[in-house]
Amino acid sequence: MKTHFANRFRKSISILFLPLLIIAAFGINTPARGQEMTNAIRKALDEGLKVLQDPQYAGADQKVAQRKAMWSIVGGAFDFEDVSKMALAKNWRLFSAAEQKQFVAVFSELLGQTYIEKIQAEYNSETIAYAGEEMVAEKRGVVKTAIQRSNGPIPVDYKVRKRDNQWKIYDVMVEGVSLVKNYRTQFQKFLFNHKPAELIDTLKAKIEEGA
Amino acid sequence: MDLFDSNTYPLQARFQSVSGLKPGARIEMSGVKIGSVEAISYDTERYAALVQLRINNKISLSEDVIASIRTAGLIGEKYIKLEAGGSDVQLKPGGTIVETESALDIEELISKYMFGKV
Repeated sequence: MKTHFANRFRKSISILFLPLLIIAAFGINTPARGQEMTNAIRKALDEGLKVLQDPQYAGADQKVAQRKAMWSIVGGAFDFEDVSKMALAKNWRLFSAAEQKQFVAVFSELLGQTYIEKIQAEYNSETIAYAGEEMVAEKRGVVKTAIQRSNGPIPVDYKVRKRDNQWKIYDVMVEGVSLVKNYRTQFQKFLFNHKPAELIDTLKAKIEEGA
Repeated sequence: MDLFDSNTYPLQARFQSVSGLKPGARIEMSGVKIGSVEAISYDTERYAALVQLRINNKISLSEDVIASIRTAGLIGEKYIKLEAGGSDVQLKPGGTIVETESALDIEELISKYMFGKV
């Protein structure tokens, strides 16, 4: 009775592990079906990573060129109008059409500058692992990734939305903390007693500071 | 339909973690209480915490509202903070808040970023 049970137990264990082995053997680098959202952003992220690792940019005087090269690739995976709208929330409507356009331009530039500089400074041959995707609402989903670091993975989730039949990123969650939310709080505070044009000028000054 | 509370409407939200959040917890917007947590359960399909909220009827929320789990003070009670969105699409009663930020597990973060290196 006991051995019979043990045998069955062993059998069911091996059945449980079989899919894991298959995933380990083939799954990681194969763009599988049902990964539409992952595939849509993965190319840009992987190519950005290649530029980051490229020895051609190893010199300190090459960092700005590298940053620009990375941003021109990775930036394409984002919908910056969406990011801007989400970050400005109801304040978006306080901006004139021309100001909205200006805001999208300076905010995206500032994001690129701020985050890519950080990545350049911190990069230590980490890789990105893709950990699946999930629909969260109609035309909205999340692509789960993890930056593989020597002292443990950092979960990074990309929120994506389908527009004009293309999946684009509108928010990034690092350790569950939202980028859009961070800026929404700050912009809300600023615009409570400042004009949209002042916010645009402030962001421009930030870019100048960092350049 | 809630027979006992006709001044509020239901919404739900999924969080990766709600650790410390309890039924009855406050829901705030700009620091003002606008609702409370009705129930918390585990969503076995999405591997996430599913929180049922009740929001004051007078408050209408757009679909891009962000819900974050926060702690009152350093060691106080957990509550949900809502940050208004800008979308023209309003959440209907029974709808789901899609943009959520989970409870930060400070202990986990400290151990990971300060002591994690081997």
